[in-house]
This record gives sequence, C-alpha cells and structure tokens, in this order.
Amino acid sequence: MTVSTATTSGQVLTSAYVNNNINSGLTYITSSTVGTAVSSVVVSSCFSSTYDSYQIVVRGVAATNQDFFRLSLSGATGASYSYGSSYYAYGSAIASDTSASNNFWRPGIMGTPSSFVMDIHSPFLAARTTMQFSSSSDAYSVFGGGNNTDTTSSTGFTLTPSAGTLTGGTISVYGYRKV
Amino acid sequence: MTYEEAVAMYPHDAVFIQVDDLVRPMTPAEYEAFIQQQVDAVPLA
Repeated sequence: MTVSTATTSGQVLTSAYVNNNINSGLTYITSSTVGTAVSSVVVSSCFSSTYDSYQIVVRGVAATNQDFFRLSLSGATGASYSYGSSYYAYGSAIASDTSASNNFWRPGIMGTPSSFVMDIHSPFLAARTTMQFSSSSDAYSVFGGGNNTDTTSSTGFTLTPSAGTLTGGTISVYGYRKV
Repeated sequence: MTYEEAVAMYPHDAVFIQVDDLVRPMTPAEYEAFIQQQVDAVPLA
C-alpha cells in the first residue's frame, strides 16, 4: 500500500484513504510511566501476531547508577542472549560491552536522563529474535545489537538496571506495519 | 559494594517492582536477589 498524498481543504476522504492512514508505518501499542525507585519494569502483552518487528522507546528515565540497562523477553528465560556494543564515555576512547551467552541483553546506557531506541524482530514468532539499538545518557553513548537463540514466543519484556534503581520517564512500544 | 552497604543504601521499603503501571513492594526473595545484584555489580569503565 502506498503512502497517501496530503489532503486539501474541504476534500472528502474515502474509507480506503482513511484506512491506509490509520494503518501507518509505526503504530503505537502501549506505554508505561516508570515509577519511583523501581528495580525492574515489566511491560506485558505488547508483542502479538499483528506485528513482526517492534520499536521500544525508553525516554527520560533517571537512574541512580551509570551502567547498562538489562532487557529480557518473557519467553526466553535462559542464557540464550548474545550481544555486542560499542560505547563512549564522552571525551574518552571507545570501549566495548559484549557477551556470547547471558540471561539478558544490555540495550542501553543508564544515567540522568537515560534514553534508548531498540528495534526488535520476531519476539512473538517461534524464531530467533534479533535487535539493534542506540542509546545515550548524560555521560555515555552506545550502539549495538544482539541475538536470542531461544525460539519461544514472547508477549512482553522486563527492563532492569544492571545496578541501582530507576525513576520516572516512559517506556513505549510501537509496531512496524507488515504490509 | 558490600552486602551491608547495599542494604543501607537500598532499604527494603524504599525499592519497588513495577508490572505495567502497577508498582508494588518486593518480596523478601526479590529483595535478596536485588541486594546481591548490587554487591555483584561492576562499575562501568
């Protein structure tokens, strides 16, 4: 389906036009506001058969520690996560964060504030799940990706700080239109 | 960070778990795992 052209004043819209624009490229699914001093946030029921690829947006989260976020899928509870990323403390040389076998991904850097965007593919399908991310905080920036060999279907995920707690900000999930 | 330092920094009644928009206290087992995570944490380079 092609992207529609802009409407003009007074134009009558057809149902085909409206349906096309409702079914946009990225569709909002859910969001949560992070509470005060939480050690983990579960976002449930955000993955389904409606989409195969998703975007997770974490914005404005204040963390007590300068460290990495951890993210695990509801259906993959073992050491099936692998990842690699490059990160910078601002003004310093590049460093790496990588693992071939872990119980979570490390898809973002924590600080005050913290933010990251992560594209995740096939979490609901009975298939390997992959992801790419970029992230920044008040002191670091990081980019990388990962893989999960557990093909169990997941309907949600848990976000955890590697150390300390999280306060405020939002976690939002969007789905990529299939066709 | 030692176990005692972690407990002093994060008292049981001051840390929580969130499921969607519901924030709740930690169970004793969850709190113990959280404190151990603080003890095991390696600061970023």
